[in-house]
Amino acid sequence: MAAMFSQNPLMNGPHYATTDAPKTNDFREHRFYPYTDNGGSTLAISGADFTVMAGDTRHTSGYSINSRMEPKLFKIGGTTADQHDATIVLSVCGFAADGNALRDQLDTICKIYRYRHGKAMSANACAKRLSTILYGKRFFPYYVHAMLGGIDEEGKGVVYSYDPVGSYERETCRAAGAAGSLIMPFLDNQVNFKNQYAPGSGVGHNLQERERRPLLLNEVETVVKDAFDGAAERHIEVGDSLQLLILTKDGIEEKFLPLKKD
Amino acid sequence: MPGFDFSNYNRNAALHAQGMPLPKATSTGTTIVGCIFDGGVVIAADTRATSGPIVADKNCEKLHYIAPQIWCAGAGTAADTEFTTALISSQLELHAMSTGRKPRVVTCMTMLKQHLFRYQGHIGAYLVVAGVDPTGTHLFTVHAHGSTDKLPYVTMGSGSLAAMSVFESKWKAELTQEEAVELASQAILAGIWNDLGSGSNVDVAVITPEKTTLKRNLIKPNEKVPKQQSYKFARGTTAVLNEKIIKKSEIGRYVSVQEVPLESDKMEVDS
Amino acid sequence: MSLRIVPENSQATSFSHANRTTSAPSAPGVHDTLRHGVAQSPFDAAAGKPSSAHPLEARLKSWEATQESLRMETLRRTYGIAEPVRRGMELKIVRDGEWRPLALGGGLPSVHEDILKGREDMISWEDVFTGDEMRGVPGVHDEMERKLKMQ
Repeated sequence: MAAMFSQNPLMNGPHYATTDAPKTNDFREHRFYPYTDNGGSTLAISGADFTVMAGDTRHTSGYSINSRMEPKLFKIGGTTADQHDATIVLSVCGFAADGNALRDQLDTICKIYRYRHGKAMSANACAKRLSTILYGKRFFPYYVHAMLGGIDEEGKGVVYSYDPVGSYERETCRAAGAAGSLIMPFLDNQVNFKNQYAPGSGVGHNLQERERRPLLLNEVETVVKDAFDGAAERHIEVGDSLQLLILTKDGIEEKFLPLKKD
Repeated sequence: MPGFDFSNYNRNAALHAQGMPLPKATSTGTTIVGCIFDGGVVIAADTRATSGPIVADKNCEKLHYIAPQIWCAGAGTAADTEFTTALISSQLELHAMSTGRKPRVVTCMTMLKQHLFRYQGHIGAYLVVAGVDPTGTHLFTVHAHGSTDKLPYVTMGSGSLAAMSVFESKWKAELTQEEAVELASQAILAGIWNDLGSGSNVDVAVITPEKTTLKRNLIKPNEKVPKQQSYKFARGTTAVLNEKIIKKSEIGRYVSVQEVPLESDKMEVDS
Repeated sequence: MSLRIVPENSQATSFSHANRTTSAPSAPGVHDTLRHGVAQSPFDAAAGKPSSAHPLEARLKSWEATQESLRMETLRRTYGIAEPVRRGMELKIVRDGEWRPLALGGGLPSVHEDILKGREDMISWEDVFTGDEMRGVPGVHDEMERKLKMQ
């Protein structure tokens, strides 16, 4: 099922440049296909004591824009419906209706946990629970690439990234959705300092890699904004507004920044 | 054999049956419009070219020259619009020389539709043909299968509905040149904002009996936002595993060197 | 005799490699350049036949012939059989009277032929993609020997 979101064009089915797609003679199978792709992209980066989650707010189908302000990032597990004291953020990208259903389900579970145990769910526990929810629909999956952001028990930022059927991993950064493949190499270079070497530190294979350090909050915000500006330039399904959620021990700050609207 | 080469068709069909996807052509999922005004005609286009969901060209030209007073806006497969308009342009020039008259827009439209009909829609060119000739001002659309329309205002491409909504609410029978340019630009802008296949800038061409004016990038509503920081890498960031320096004096050992003539005797070029 | 405007759909629904010899047995359908050169020989009898089962190719190949037969049929009905016969003879005279070696673009219609056909002010893809670059051009001696039936 991971193949559904594979970036390999061979796996995403044939793309027909002409109209003569192979026809099956005479017989036509009528099928119900409940999924659509609503485009958009999300991005999450964890820092030393914070996590930044971001996503554009465009909601598309085909070549049409359904909405220019339909956020993909949701605060999860607060005491009330307005989520003012939430500590965890869920981002969902892909089929928006499934995303909303998943958000509601996870939020309900977090709230029930809070009432039963008298404390908020930890990011780690919530991450495992989300994986279980996704795998529960193994044969009729939520068509989403989900990410969960929070602060762990040691006060460090965490990001968990999921495939549609619940395989998950803790990561320092991840870009998902339509422009995921455009943004991810940029993050590899700018967040994980991949393919960078310390100038003058050696010759040939003795060259030392650039020292890796966690980015500061303002550096992360800059990188996120630039990543989405770049994605909006080159991907037709990304644009309109950038929703930014900054998670720290003091709570969650939400910001909206403008993106290109064409 | 003369004509298009079909020799790989059977091989490709066999490969396709085994699950190999067909190559994707760049399509100009586009907004193009045309509008007649008192004393001429105006056509306009956006400048985005896409390849699937990726923007292939942010500032491409979709207004094609056919004859001095006949221009064409193209949507559909980029290569098809380009080559079809180029071929018809040549054919019209030959025809004009043979008859000794200025080319007419109906002639151009007829050539296009006959050509496209012959290829049964396999040439995916969707065109707006506009021009002024001795018989007056004309505006046509030509579809890939060969059907045509003659209308006072037309739209085509994936953003045609967005653009047509502007025409349907603001078009009137008597328009000045300025009004027509404004109306066509507004129609293109509707496509740029509301259709994902269209974007970037607005190109406009105004054709009057006297002259044709191509207003390239008349409106640029989508300037790139400057980056928040510099992504310049310090010199030496990229690993060099091997280095070999070739001195200019030794370059003759690797390539043939010829002295370039000085500025005084410049290369002869077509003026 | 019909007044058909466009060629009828004579597209082959199946394609067989059995009667074609330009592909290797191990890779049927793919032209074998090592055995048969870069493309079909101009003397090949199969040169006029479609090389694929593509729906367009058969249509394009018989397009000119269909249009020509329509023109001739119209002329016959208007002026009698003498008119198309005269035109056919003129065309044959012009074709036989001019000869260019294949190496110099022979086989393509000459300007005189174009005028008789009323195509001298037209340009089409057949003029742009002549197929020359994909064809192994035979030597002029080889060509003359064939022409004079010495081979």
